[in-house]
Amino acid sequence: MKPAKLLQVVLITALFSVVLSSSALAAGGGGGPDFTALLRHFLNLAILLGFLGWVLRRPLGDFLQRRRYEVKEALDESWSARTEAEARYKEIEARIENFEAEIETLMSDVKADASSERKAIDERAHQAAGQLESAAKRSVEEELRRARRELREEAIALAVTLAEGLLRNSVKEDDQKRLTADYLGKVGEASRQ
Amino acid sequence: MSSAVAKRYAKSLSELAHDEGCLEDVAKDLHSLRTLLKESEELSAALGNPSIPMAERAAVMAAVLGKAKVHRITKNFVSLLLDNNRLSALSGIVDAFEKYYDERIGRVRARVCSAAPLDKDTLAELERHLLEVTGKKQVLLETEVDPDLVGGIVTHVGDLVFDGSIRTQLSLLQNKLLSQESAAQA
Repeated sequence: MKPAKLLQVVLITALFSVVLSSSALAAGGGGGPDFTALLRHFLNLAILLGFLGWVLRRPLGDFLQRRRYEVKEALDESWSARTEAEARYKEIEARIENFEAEIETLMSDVKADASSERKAIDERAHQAAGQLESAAKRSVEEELRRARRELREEAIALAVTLAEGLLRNSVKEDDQKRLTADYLGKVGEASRQ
Repeated sequence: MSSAVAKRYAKSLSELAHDEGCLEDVAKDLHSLRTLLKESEELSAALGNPSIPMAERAAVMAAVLGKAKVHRITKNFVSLLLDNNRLSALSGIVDAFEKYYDERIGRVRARVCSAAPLDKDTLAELERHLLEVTGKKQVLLETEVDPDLVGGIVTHVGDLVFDGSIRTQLSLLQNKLLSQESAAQA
């Protein structure tokens, strides 16, 4: 508060005090209602209220103005919050309304995926089983071929061994001479080439 | 001793003996000496024993060579081997020397293996054929009897092999049957 304004308030308050004290002295007289004193009181009150109104009119106005802005802002904010809440509510409501449909779509998709996945798994399982079966068949056939081959090789080796034994016992001197003659003939043939 | 070192010794000896005109004598000496060392294991062990002083080993060798009446070059060569502690390589050196010797005189060695002993006529005819095959002046047949051949003859001459044995025929038959079997399987 400025000094001039402060001086003004002090003077007015002093005047008000003088008036009040004079009225109090006046009220100290005889019995019965004193309407003059009552009137003075009202007058004093009016002057006080008027004074206060005059002194406080600007700060109070500023306060009220500011308060009005604040209330307005609060109202605006609450309005926008409400609008937003309403929009959110509508959105949620819409989603809730579509929720069952979405669940149905989701379930349908899941079922379709599960079905296709099951088919794929079945196919893969069939393929794997087929491959295993083929591999097992090939393995068995290969083992059979190998066993047959080994058996025949053993049979051939045995036959040759038997033949060698027979020849060893049956080749006589004449046979050696004939073999030698054949051999010399072949070496001679080679020498002529 | 590596064969390369044996070859170097053999080549030097053959050139020296050729220059001295005693190639055949040295060849005979070396062959006899190798046979002697093979047959007498005690002599061979004593000459190769490093615990026996070199002078004693040289004296033993000199006595052996003196009895064998070998050529001077052979004697010197064996002394050199003894000095260099290379006597254990004599067998390899003699093999290499014989190859050089054979080359110089145009001779080839043929190892004839037969199931039964061969008569002179057969060997003469075989030698004649081998002379024609190899184009050499002389063929030296080294015969051997191997009953495992069952029948027939096998001759190795240089890189050539003339195989007329029943054992090889049986082996070929076995291979043929196996290859036919493999082809049938495929």
